Amino acid sequence: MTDFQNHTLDIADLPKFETVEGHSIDRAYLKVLRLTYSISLAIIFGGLFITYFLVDMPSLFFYIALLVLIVIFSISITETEKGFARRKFGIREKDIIFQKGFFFFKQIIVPYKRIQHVEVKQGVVFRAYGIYSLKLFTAGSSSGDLSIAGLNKEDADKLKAIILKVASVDEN
Amino acid sequence: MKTDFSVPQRQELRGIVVIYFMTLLKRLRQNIYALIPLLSENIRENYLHFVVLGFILLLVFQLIYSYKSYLNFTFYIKDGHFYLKHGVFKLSDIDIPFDRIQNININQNLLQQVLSVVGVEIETAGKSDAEISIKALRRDDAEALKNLLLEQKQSENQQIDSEKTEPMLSRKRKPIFRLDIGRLFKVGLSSNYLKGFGLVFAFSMTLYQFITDTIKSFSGKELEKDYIELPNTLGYVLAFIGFILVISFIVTIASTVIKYFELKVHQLKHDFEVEYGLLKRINKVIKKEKTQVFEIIENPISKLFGIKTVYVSQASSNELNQKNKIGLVGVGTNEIQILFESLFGLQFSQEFFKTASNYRFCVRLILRYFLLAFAVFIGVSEFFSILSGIAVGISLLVLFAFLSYKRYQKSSVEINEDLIKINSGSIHTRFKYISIYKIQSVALLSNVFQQRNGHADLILYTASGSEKIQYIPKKDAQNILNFLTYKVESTEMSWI
Repeated sequence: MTDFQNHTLDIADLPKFETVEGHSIDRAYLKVLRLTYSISLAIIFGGLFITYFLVDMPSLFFYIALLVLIVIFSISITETEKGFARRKFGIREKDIIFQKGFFFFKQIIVPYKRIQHVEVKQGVVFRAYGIYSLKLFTAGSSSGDLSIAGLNKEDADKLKAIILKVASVDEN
Repeated sequence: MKTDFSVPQRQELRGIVVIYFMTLLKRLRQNIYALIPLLSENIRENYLHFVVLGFILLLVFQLIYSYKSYLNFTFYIKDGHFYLKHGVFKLSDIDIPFDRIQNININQNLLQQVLSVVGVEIETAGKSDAEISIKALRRDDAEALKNLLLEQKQSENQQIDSEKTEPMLSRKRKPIFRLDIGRLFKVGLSSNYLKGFGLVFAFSMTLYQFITDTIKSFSGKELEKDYIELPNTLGYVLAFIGFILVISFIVTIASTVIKYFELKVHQLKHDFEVEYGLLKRINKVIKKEKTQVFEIIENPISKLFGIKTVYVSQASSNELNQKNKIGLVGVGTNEIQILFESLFGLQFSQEFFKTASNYRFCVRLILRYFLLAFAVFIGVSEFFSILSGIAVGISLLVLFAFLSYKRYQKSSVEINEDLIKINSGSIHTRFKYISIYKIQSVALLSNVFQQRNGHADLILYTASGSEKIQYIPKKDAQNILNFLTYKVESTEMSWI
C-alpha cells in the first residue's frame, strides 16, 4: 500500500475506520438470542428424543443425528455468546460502521449519503424486550443493506435522526 | 372533497375486501401443499370436519387480520418525505424522501374494478421489497397523490431537465460497432470453448477406442467373450456421448448466431444503444449514469481470434446475474476503448496500484475441491474398483489444483484515484471496472482462520450487486476501505 503515498493524498492521513470506538448493542438483545436458541434447542432435541423412544429408530442413526445436532448447536451457541461482544456500531460524521460475527467477522461501512431510506422495526419478541432493529437501505440489491438488530429506543431514534439529517443535507 | 395528504390517511374502507382476498389468495398459494393430505380418502372421511373447521377459522382470522392491517396502514406527506406506517404483528415505519421515488404506477385488478378503487405502487431507487404498495384508494385520490409526489420530484430535477433539452444528435448515425457474420461465427466457436474441448476429447476417445478395437479384433480372437464385449459397449457409450457433444456444440453455435445476429452498437451522446437478435430483435440502452460495472472477458480461444466480450451492469433492484447484464460479444480493443472512455469519461489506459490475493486463497480452493474429489473417489471405488477410484480422484484433484492455482494467480484488485479494477478468472480472464463514486457500501469479511493469519475478503457493493476480492492482507484491505470511503464521502458526484 506504500504506493498510495505517491498520489496527491497520503493514505496515512485518511481517517481510519478501524480506530473508531464502537458502541455495544443493548444487552436485552443477547437475552432474545439466548431465548431463541434455547427454544430451538428444546424443540429439536426434545423432538429427537421423543421420536427415538416412540418410533423404532436404529440407534446408530440416533447417535449420528445427536452428534450432528450437538456440533451444529455448539457452533451456533459459540457464535451467539462469543460474537455478541463483537456486535458494535460506530458513528462517524459521514458514515456508519457496523461489525459482528465470531466465526465470520464482518465489518461494513455505509456512507450516509448512499442511504436510500431507513426503517425501524420491532417484532413481537423485540417489543417484549423493548428493543428495535434499524435497517438502512442502499440502492440496488439487498446485499449491501445494513441491518442492526437489538438497539434500544434511544439509540435507534438517535441513529435514525443522524442518518436522515445528514442524508438530506447532502442531497441539497 | 379534496383529501389532505399532510395528515395521516387510511385506505378506502372497502379496501378491506381487497386486502382480505389478496392476502387470502397469497396465503393459499403459499400453503397449497397443506392440502395434500386431503388426497387420501381415509383422511377425507375421518377428519373432514376438522379441515372445514380449520378453514373457517382461517377465514375468520384472516378477516380480523385484514381489518387490523387496514387500521394500521396509514400514510402522509410532510416536508418532502412520504411516511408510511404498516404491519400487524410487526410494525414498520417507512420514510421515503421524494427524490428517491423513481416511479408511481396506478393499477387496477378485477376486484379493485368491481369496488372502484385503484392500487398505487411507489417504486424507489432502493431494493424491490422496500417498494410500497397501497391496495385501495379512490382514483382521484390516487391521481392527486401521484401528482403531488411527482410534482415535487420534477421541481427538483428541473435544472437537469433544461440541460437535456439540447438538440439530440441525429439518432441513427453510423454504428460504432457492427458484428459481421464471420466474426459472429468466431464468437460461437469461442464462447463454448469448454464444449469445444469436450468435443475434441470425445472425438479422440472414440478414435482411440476404434483403433484398439480394430487391433483386438485382429490379434485377440482367442480372448474370452466378456473381454471383447466390454470395450464394445463402452465404445457405444462413448460414441453416444460424442454424438451428444457434437449436437450440443452445433446447437450452441447456432443459438449464439441467432441470439447475437447483426449486433449493432450506436452511440447517443454518452449513452449507447445496443441491438441484436435474428428471431427476436432486442434493443437495449446502456446509460452512462446507470452503468455500474464494466466487465471484459477473454478466453484462450477468443484471444486467438482477437475478440472479447463486454458485459455492462446497470443499476437494478435485484442482484444481477450474467443473463441480465447487457452483453456485447465479439468486440475488439478499439470498440472497448470507445465504450469505456465514453461511459467513464476517463482514458482507457490507466495506472493502478495492485493488491493481489494471498496464496492461502489457492489453498482454500483446493481444500474445498478436495472434498468433492474425495466424494467422487468414494463413489467410483464403490461402483468400480479402488484403483480406478484412486485414478479418477487424483486426476480430478490435479485438474482442480490447476484451476485453483489459475484462479489464485488471476485474483487481484487494482485501485487509483477514480477507478477500481477487479481481476479474476481461471482459464478465462475477467476484468471488472467500477468508478469509485458508484460504490454504495463496503465491507470486510474474515473467517476464523483469516482472523488468525491477518487476511480478509473485501466486498464492494454497487447498485447492481456485490463484488468480492478474496484473501487479501488485512492491512491492505483496511487501507483500501479507508481510501474508498474517503473518496465516496468527498465526491460531489451522485451514483446515478
